[in-house]
Amino acid sequence: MDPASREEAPAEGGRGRVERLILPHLDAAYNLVRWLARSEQDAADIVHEAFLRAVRYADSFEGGNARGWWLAIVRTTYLSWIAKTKGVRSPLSLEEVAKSGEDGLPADSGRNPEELAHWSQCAGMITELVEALPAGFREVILLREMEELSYREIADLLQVPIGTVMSRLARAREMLRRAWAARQRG
Amino acid sequence: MLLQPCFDGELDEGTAAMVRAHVAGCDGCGREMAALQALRDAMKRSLPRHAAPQSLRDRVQNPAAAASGRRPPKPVRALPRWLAMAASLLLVASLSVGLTWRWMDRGTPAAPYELLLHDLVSGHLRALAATSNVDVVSSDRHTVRPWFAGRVEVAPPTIDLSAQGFALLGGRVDYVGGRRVAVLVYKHAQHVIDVFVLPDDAQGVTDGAGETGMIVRQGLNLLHRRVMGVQVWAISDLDGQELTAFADGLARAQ
Repeated sequence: MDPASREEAPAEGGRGRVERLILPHLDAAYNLVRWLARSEQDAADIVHEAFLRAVRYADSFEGGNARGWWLAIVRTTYLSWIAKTKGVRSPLSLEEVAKSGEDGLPADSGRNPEELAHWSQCAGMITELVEALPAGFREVILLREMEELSYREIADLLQVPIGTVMSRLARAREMLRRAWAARQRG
Repeated sequence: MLLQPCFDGELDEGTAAMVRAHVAGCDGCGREMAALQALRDAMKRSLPRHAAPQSLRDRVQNPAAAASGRRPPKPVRALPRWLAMAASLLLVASLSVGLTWRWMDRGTPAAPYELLLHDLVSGHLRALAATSNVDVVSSDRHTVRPWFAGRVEVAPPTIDLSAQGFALLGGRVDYVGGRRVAVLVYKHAQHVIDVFVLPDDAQGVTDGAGETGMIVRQGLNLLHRRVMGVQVWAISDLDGQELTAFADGLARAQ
């Protein structure tokens, strides 16, 4: 068999198939990247690039969870895209953590029920606080609260142990609450 | 330590019940749970969900038409002739706004049906990925059915098919079209079968009476049947023939 034609066949049959697999999750992909990249045009380009990759690697989908397979490609595309354009090697690393959150607030701040009642009244501020989270934490809490992925699904997507997902998620929540408490005070 | 996993629904039912019992009697943990819930509510309510722009959708679905746009995607490979022809037809169609609208309109009626299938598939997959895919664990149908009372709109017909090799594992509550529905979970060999019991007016099923042939989504088989006066969907990675035997078994039960 001519090697070229053997290579083409799955890719072209793949486009329609990949389209069917990912279209239901196009919004989820765009939303995730839009929150990570914080730019509409970049997000659209990254998701499109991810789609082309997905077509190329259509054979790697072995059935089952199409959303997980697709979001993993989207995330990888995001990482290599940002490495290329921003020269940042690992934007989802947690290095920023040391600086953020450890601002000397008592661990208990933000746990007072009256303060919590105000959460709901300041919608814009929550968006700001989430955007200010280091990307690695922002990602985990968005996957959990917006996409409602299970710990297992997040762990598979990020290729980290479930324990890491749990601690990152707990940390992200803690940071949001501290930041919130700090705003209330300031 | 178990508070957040409990809050996130990651614990099996037994452990979750223990944690909830503790939280009920512990002020500190009660406040912590309330705080987690307040944060979740606030995020759900406030964070904008960004929908994929139409231009991106076009680039994915219709590369030829999108190429006339601002940022033409690089063609990865030469298109097969039939696809190129189809694409150029679409391009012609999209030049006329009226035609494009009609084309989109024709697409809409299928949507609620697809949404329903999407909910069933994602409910099934989510449950498979969870630590436990049942909220009430019992092979006894007289335990499972009462458990659903007050939890869902339509009480599920619990049918014993163990003689045919389909063991009842239990049940859970899931969401379809934003409504709480009962799901019965059966097992056959290594395959899990979810049986979703839907209200008759559930979105996406215009007439719940008919049976469907095998529908395949994401490698999963789905079948619709009417069982003891209610409509159910069976979904599984079980092969088509066996799932049909299972669904027909349900439908025959009295």
